Parts: sequence; C-alpha cells; structure tokens
Amino acid sequence: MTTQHQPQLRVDVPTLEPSPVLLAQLAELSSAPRPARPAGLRILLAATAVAAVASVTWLTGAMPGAQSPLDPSDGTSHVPAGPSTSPGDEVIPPQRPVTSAPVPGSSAPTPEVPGAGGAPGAQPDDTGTDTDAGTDPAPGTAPDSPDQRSGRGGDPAGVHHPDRDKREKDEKSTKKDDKRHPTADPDPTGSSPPVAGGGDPQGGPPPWTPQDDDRDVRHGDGPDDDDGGRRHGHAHGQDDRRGHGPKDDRDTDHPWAGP
Amino acid sequence: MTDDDDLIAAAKQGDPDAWRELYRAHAGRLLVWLETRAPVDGGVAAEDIAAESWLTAAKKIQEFRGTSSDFAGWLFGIGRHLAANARRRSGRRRTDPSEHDELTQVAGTVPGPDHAVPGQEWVRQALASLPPRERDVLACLEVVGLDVNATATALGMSAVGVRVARHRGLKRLRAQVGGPQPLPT
Repeated sequence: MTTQHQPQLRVDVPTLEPSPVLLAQLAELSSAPRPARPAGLRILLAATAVAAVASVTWLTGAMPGAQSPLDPSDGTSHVPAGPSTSPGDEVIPPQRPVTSAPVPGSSAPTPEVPGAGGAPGAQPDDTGTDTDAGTDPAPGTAPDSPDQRSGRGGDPAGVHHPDRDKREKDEKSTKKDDKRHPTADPDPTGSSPPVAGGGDPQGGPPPWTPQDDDRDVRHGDGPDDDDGGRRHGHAHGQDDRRGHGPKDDRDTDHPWAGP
Repeated sequence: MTDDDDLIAAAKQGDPDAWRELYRAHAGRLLVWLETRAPVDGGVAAEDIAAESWLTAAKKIQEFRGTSSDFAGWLFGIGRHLAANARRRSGRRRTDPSEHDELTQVAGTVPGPDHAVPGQEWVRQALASLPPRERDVLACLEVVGLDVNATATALGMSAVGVRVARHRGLKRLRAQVGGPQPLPT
C-alpha cells in the first residue's frame, strides 16, 4: 500500500562522480592544517593593548577624576617668581621698585622700609607678646613693630603707591595658589618662638595661613591707610600671631609704614 | 572504507578516495534536494550551491563529528545556509540583466544530462504548493531518502518537528491530489 506511492515522491537519485579538479580541491582543503590561533596569545595581545591605552591615558591625564603626575600646571607652579621663594625669607623680591635707599642699621635689605628697624625702640611690642622682635636677625624689618603699623619707619617720602598695592595683592593671590608649607618656620635662625605668647588663648599659635597674611595686610591703623581701618581697625588679638609667618616681609612693604 | 567513522576520519586526513566515496553517496541527493526546494535566483544555480557546499564541508570537516549519515545532514545544512545567503543576496541587489533571463530560459529548455532525473519535475510541482517547512522535510525524507535525524540536522529542526511536518505535508498532499489516495506513511 505504501510502496504503491513511494515512487511518486522518491526519485532515482543519480550517482554523481566528482571531477578530478573538485576532488583535488576537497582533498587539499580537508588536509590543509588550520592556522593555530591560541587563545593565550590573543588574550595576551588584548591585555597588552589595553594596558598601553590605559597607560597613555593616565599619563596624559585624560582619565577623569585622576590626577596626572605629568600635569604641566605643576611644573609652572614650582618655578619661583623671584629670589624670595620661602615665605619667611627676608629678602625682598627685586621686582618691587626701590623707592629709597636703605638706612644703615637695618640688617635686612628692605629698601622700602629704610627706617623701620633703625628707629630705636621700634622692636619691642607694646603688648609684650611678640618676643621675637629683639632676637630677630632682621629687627629692622620686624613687621610686628607697631612703629611700622603706625607709620614710623615706613616710606620716608610718605608716598602712597596704589599700583604697588595692587601688585602686592596679586602676588599674594598667586602665592596663595602655590602649595607652600604654611607652617614653615620663617626664621632661619630658629629664634622665633613657636608660641608667641598670651595672644592665643589656646596656648599655641595657629599655623600660618594665607588668611593671616590677609588680615595683617588689612590692619588699617596707619595714617595713610584708606580702607584698612574701615575693614578691620585695631585687632590686637591678631597682632599676637605676628612674627610667626611669612607675613613679616609683607608687612614691611606697606606704604603706610612710613614715618 | 565501509565504516562511516573510518570514512570520515579518512576524509579528515585528506584522502581523495574517501572524498570520492562521500561525493558518490551524497552529491546526487544534495543536488536533487536543492533543485526541489524553492529556486534561489536566476543567476545562482543549484549546482553552484552544491559545489560551494562541498568546498565548505571540506574546509570545516575538522569540526565535524559523526558518521557518514550524519555527514549527509551536516552537508545539507551547509547547502541550506548557502542557499539562504544567495537568496538574501539576490533580494538585496536585483542586478540581473534581461539578457540573462533569456539565457536562463533558453538553457532551461535544454536540460543537461545531469538534470534528467525521472519524476523530479512532477515532484517539484507537487511540493511547490506546500509550505516551505513541510516541503523541505518531505524533500529530505521522501524524495532523497534522508533519515529523520539527518533531516533534523539539515533543516535545524528537532526530530519531533520533522515528524510533525512530514505528517502535515503528506496530509496536505493527499488533499491536493484528491480523494483518499494512499500515501506513504
């Protein structure tokens, strides 16, 4: 019954003979050794490529959130702008204009404040808390002296230089950006005591910060100061912290520290 | 060389005799099966797909594991994939010139000696009305005589699916012929 209709669908499949060319190709393709592609080599190549790309990315700082040791901004920030590289250096940067000759007796080359340290009795602080005034190797440039703040020993000409003030403020703002050690002892001789006295109720002076420097600059009790008095006035509590930081050389630059 | 495994192993070694025997056993069936299926394109003949299937099988023979019967299903699967690729390729770019169609028609009127398969034209017309899935299954099982497993391998189906498609195809063919004519079960 089933064999009656099988020939209708089942066809007589002819037996085909392969051509010699096709047979040679089949034998050649089947016997050809396949190129070995070890997985380890591919993994190694991939890992090497990834490591190379990651290294280049890291070195160029292209990776977000990661700091690069080769950041060009670091290289420019460490270049000193002048001879005074440390905050406590008594040497005045040479870019500041010299307005008058230094007064003999001033140990530090402070041409702007020729008579600051030369005036007798200028070293001792009126509050008695600044003990480094007499032991400072550059007593004439001690910024803590009230004489300087009051105008004694300043610019003998008494000329106010607004452009110089602006330049000084710019320098200070740039120095703030620099990552200096704020607690570095500005006194190379080590004579400056670590504790300034009874100015700090906690018993120890706070480390020097650029903000302290700004406060010192804005103490406007000088006669020529126009805006300093409006801002802070007399703040003796902050005077106690003077003489510990790099503000020493800056206070001497005040033009109102004149006679 | 009577053992299938030995035949496949010899073919993997590049033995021409093994390939000749495989070719004799499966080349005719592959060609008939490809011709029974839906035509691919006027520019791609079943012989081309069959030849490419053999070359691909020779390249990939190292990956094949099985007997000669399994080799038939594997070879038919290669042919099915190549035919599908040719069909998609011809569907994307219709660049056949009109002269080519004329040549095809002329060549079709004079078939070569290899195409002189008795009853193949009738079978092709009978299977043309079936769905592609049932047509392929019947072509493999009833026309060229593959077993169920080889058919399932060639068509990418399960053995149960092959049997179901075969049953439905035969039932549909019985209805088309008209009357309760007995068909192979």
